[in-house]
Amino acid sequence: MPGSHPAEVLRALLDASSFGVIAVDTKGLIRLWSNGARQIFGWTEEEMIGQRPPVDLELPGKAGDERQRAHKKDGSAVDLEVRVSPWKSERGNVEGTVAILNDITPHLEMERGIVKLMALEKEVQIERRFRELLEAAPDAIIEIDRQGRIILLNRVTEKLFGYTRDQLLGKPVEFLIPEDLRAFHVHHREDYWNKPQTRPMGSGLSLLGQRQDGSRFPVEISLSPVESEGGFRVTAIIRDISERKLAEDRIKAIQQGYTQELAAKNLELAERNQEVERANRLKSEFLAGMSHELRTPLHTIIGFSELLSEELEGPLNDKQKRFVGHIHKDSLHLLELINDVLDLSKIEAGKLELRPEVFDIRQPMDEVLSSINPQAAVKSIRIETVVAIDRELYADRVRVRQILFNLLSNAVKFTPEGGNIRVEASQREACVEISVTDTGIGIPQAEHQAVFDKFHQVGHTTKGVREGTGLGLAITQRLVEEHGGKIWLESEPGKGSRFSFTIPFDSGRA
Amino acid sequence: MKTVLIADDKPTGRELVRTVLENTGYTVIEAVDGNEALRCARESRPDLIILDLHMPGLDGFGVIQELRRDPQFAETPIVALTASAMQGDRERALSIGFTGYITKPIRLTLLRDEVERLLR
Repeated sequence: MPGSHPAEVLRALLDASSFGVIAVDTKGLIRLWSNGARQIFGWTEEEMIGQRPPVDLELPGKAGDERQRAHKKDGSAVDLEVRVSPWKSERGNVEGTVAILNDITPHLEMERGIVKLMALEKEVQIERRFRELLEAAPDAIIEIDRQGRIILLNRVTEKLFGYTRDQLLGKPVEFLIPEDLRAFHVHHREDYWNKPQTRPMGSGLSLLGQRQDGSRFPVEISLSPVESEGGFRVTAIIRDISERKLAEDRIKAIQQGYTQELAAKNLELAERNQEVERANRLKSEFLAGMSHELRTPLHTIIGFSELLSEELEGPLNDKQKRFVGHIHKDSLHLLELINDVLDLSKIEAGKLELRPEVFDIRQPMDEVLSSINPQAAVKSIRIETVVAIDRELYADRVRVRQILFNLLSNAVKFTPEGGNIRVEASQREACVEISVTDTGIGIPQAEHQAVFDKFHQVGHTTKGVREGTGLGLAITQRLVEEHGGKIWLESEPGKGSRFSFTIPFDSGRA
Repeated sequence: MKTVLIADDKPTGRELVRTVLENTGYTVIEAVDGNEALRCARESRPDLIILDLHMPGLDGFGVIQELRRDPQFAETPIVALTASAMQGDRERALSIGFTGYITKPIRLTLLRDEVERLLR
């Protein structure tokens, strides 16, 4: 029957569909209520014709699907997908509204179920990961509730304390603490609840734990308050620090050992220093005393030999004169030796005090020359001086004179008759440089360093000149160095020697 | 003739100084220690006193302190004679009232010159 749609056919089609189809007239009263609508709501068409529909079909701008929640005959809720369209006559007049209702309650339920399932899955995952973390931790982790009961624990806790999970769950946390500390801990726990705050590991919370077998061990604890749906709880991480304590104790013992050893060493050192100081002082006292004791008999030996050689007490024959001369000369040499030894030991004991003063280098130079010149004159040695300095020195004048004297008397000693000695003083940056050049026998290269050694006498080259103490240059070198200067030698055998030294202009301020 | 008092516990030391000064024309009195030096000084009122600093009992420092307290010896030249050669000894001696300072071993000319200078 193409083209022909008898009303019965249309009605049968409507009723065959599980969608609810309803039509309302312009007054909003139901004019059609399909079988599907009956199945959704529970009302029959007879009940509903002329009634107002249980869903809102009047919403403005309604086009396409819309979800609504409505109520069935039995009062239960039903979720609907509602599609409305105008009901027009053949002439195009609006007669009312038709609506197709789709019960989406099961669909929604399923949707909700899926969401719930997914959430559950996520929770399970989180729980599993939490568990993993909990179990992966190297420390015992427990959670306790407001009453101090253990409500969560990891395997490390079981292993550490020697209990099973079931033995611990629900037990007060003091279960893990030695009996004698429990009351104290309860008190502390109450305090903590009043002022809960995160206390990290190592913030001074040290406690003793007690295993099931009664053995105790040191633990360190960190606490974090946790607020959740289940109420207020505290997570405690308990770390067994027996090994660390042991290591610490060992380190402490080692440190203590070291400290004691060090203290002993220091004491020993202080004692040795004292001994050295004492020895030094004794040495100085000994030297002073010895010098005094040696000078006293020398005083009379020199004095009487001088007296004899003056022949005031009667004439001496030539031999006697010569003998007395020997005594006199050798006793003077002995005196010189004593003076030098004393001087050197004072320098070496660090007892030499420089007494700096401001002076012109010409002054000690002239003094030395006036005492050296007679000796030089005996050997017809000419001494020439060149001074090119316009600055004054701040140094120990007496010691500078001693340096000059030693170098010049050496020069005279080792220069043959008729030779020349040249003394030059010039300015070298912050120092005065003085050189004493002679036309003497010279010193081989190999001995240039050794001449400054104590008791060094330049071997065969001295050709019988064996005066002096062998200490003069050693003393001279030290005096120069005490002033912060340098001394050196340029010489070749047969070509004379040049001793040079420097003294900083302001060495007294060093 | 001027009188010189020499105080030294060593007889050879005294004899040396005595000989040198007598040769030069002075009268010499000897004292063997500090106490005798004080007694001799007060009895003989010498024109110059030579004190060995190092004597048993009262040493040269003790003697000069005693003498300088006495107005009679306020101006008397007093010379220190010592075998000590430590730094600062001369300054110390001059600061407590010695007029001169001679170290042992003495050189005869130096002793003669010093005595002559002080008694001029």
